[in-house]
Amino acid sequence: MNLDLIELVSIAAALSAILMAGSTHLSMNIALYSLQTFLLSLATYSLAGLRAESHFIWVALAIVVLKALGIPLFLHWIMVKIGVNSDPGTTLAPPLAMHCCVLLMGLSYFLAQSLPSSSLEGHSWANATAAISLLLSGLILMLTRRIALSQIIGFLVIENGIYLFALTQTSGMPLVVEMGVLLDVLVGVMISGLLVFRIQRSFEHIDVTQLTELRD
Amino acid sequence: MSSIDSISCLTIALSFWLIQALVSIFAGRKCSNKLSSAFFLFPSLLLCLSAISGWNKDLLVSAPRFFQFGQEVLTMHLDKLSAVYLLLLGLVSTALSFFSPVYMKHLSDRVNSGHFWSALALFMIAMTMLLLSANAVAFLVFWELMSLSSLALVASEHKQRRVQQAGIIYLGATRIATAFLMAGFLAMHAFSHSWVFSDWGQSAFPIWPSFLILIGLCIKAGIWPFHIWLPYAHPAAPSPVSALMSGVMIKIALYAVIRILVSQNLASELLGHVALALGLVSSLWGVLFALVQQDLKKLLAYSSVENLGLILMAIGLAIVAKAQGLPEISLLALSAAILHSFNHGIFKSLLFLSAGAVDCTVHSRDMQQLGGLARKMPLTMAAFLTGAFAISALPPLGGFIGKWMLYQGLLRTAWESSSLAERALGLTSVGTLALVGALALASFAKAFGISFLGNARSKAVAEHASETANGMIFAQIFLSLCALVSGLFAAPAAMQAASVASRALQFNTRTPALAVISLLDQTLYALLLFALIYGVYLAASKRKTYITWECGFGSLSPRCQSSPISFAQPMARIFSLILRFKLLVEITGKDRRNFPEHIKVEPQMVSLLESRVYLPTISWIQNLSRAFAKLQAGSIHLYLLYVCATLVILVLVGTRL
Repeated sequence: MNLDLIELVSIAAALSAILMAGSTHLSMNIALYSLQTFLLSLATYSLAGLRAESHFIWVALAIVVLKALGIPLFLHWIMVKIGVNSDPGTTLAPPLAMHCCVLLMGLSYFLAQSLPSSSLEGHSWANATAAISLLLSGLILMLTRRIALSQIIGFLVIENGIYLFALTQTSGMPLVVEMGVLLDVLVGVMISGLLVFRIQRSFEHIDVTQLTELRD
Repeated sequence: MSSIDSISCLTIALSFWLIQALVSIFAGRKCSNKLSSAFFLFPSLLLCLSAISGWNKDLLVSAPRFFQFGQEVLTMHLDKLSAVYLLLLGLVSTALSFFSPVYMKHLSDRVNSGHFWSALALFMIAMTMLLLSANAVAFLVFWELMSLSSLALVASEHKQRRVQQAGIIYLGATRIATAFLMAGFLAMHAFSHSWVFSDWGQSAFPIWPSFLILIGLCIKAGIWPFHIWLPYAHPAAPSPVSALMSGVMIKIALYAVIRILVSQNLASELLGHVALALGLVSSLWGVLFALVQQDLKKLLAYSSVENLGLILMAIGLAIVAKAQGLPEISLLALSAAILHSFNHGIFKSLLFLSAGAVDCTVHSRDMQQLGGLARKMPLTMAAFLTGAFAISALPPLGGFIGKWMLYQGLLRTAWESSSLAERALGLTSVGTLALVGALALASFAKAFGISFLGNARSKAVAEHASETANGMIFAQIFLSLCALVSGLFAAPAAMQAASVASRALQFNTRTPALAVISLLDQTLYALLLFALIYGVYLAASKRKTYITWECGFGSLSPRCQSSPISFAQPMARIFSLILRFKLLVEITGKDRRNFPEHIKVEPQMVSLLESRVYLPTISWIQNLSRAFAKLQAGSIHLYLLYVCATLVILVLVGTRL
């Protein structure tokens, strides 16, 4: 089984997401997210060469600046501001969640097998596995964590998974769409970050298991 | 006039209303009622004009590409059938533009006049376009506009709880109606690959889409068992709105039955029988409930159920007769339906306007409070009497001709049909129709007698009642004259209706003039003569004045007059199987057997359909939704789990397929 560079990078990104599901330290998670996004930008950059699409270079650059550096720094700032640095998790303990993610990666492998094949560069079962696994790991992260900041990180991991899937399984999106999505994510994170801040101020905690009043 | 005239008239009228809708909504409470009504009058007159000038034309117009709905071009079709209803709409809205400013002044502290005029203008646009639209997409769009704008009008006094409830019920009814209609139209499109009504007649269809369409239209028309919304919406709505809704809107639903089902040959014999049966039941049901109502507008609403039932019955008879190869009966029945739609539109609007005028001066529609208005409001009394005569189908007025032709059609079915079952059905229908006619007469004798004759039952009526403002009087006199004219010229009107009907039924040969109609003239004149002689005799007879014996109970008061309940009680007892009418009597006092101090009598009436069918259904749905609401527990993790589960299932399903 030989993996090329892109496959190696995306599998590494998926593994970093699994590690995130197992870690209770928020700063660790943010760092892992940064690493993961950096790996994705690397994949984008090498695809630019393989597919001869120059705009991927710009996308890769934007991802590094905004998602690999900007968002983690912002989240870290929020974390320091709130003064919370670990997330104990809810019903499913973090080590168990991590094993769950490993199992889901296996499921992703089977799902990726049944995808229609294509001769597109970068369209391979390994990349599809990594993308679906990223998506499911992000969901697990959101599902099993207690602190609202972890939900944001989980959401970002899901977004990475979707991005990787779109990058490798389709012939890529136009630059405008790519930038629009990036901007959306940025704004989404900004808003939810500020909301977490407000929740902390109003309720003196950011434990989402206790935010169950508002439902009608 | 040239053919282009009626189209440009319509265009101008519609753009006037569009401007009015836009301007009034921004004007809000500052919107002047007089100015608005003047602005409203002009397009109403144009509508009448376009209907008259477009009478013998058959115009097919495509709107500019700007007005495309989806990929369909908006096509409009003006022919005789739509012209009849356009004329009705024009006449009623003309009357409204005189009536509304005074009425709105009376409501000014409760209703935002800008919103009212804006919704009214939109309502008019929707109804006009609905009458003209020749394809299903445009029809649905304007159908929705009609439903929603009329809902806004019904909920004009939206701060009252009663009005809110009525609005919700009406909204529910319109939603269900649209759902059925949309399902029917989609099925039709799936089979014929066209949205244009006239293409639907070309290919063979299964029977069920036509039933879906019929049900959708019947809900809007207030046919039994879907009439529940009518008696709620009408008392809640302002009177001009009731007049427009009951006079025109619900008739447009039956117009659509003729336009879509009858004239495109989509109606099977079974559908005809169903329509006939529904019409029969709803006419009887409607009139029985009208009889026992105390609220004047509720009574009128139930009477609308009755009359719409008659119209649907006539349409059903036309379909059945055509399927059985009896073209003359079919023609007779469909002309009856068209004529009765027109006439009922006129006099039902008149009655609603009169009820509104009474409400406006006395601030009550409860007949228990009214009485003795004849002397205080003579012109309103005359108008209401005209309307009551017309709706009871008394000869010199408009209501007679439609029912007369329906009788003819049913009797001839009983005579000419080959199968015994059809004959029995014809005879049964004639019998029911006669019963309905008599009960309608009784309920309007009650409505008129209790409200206008005798002495005032409450202080408000005794002291404050006086003739209403000129605008209201003029509107009522205008509609009374329309009812009178359409009655006096019933024979030519019937001829015209027959020509409309023969086109709708696609009879190529011009059917010979209906023998009924020449007979009708003679009957009319004979009856007029009879009425004249009777009137002279009455005037000549001596009048005696004497004191009524008060049974030793002490002096008589206005409360000793017969009340609306006591008037209806004998008939209500006979039909207690359907009406569930009960009097709860409570006697208190020391020696309550011989010398009761207080006697409290309260009528209790339970509507079977509401208590046994609709309320259980609604509570079942509520329980079901409560069970579903448990899914929404408020926990973010649970919601995320739902998302996750849905995603996994979708991916699995997607990869397996």
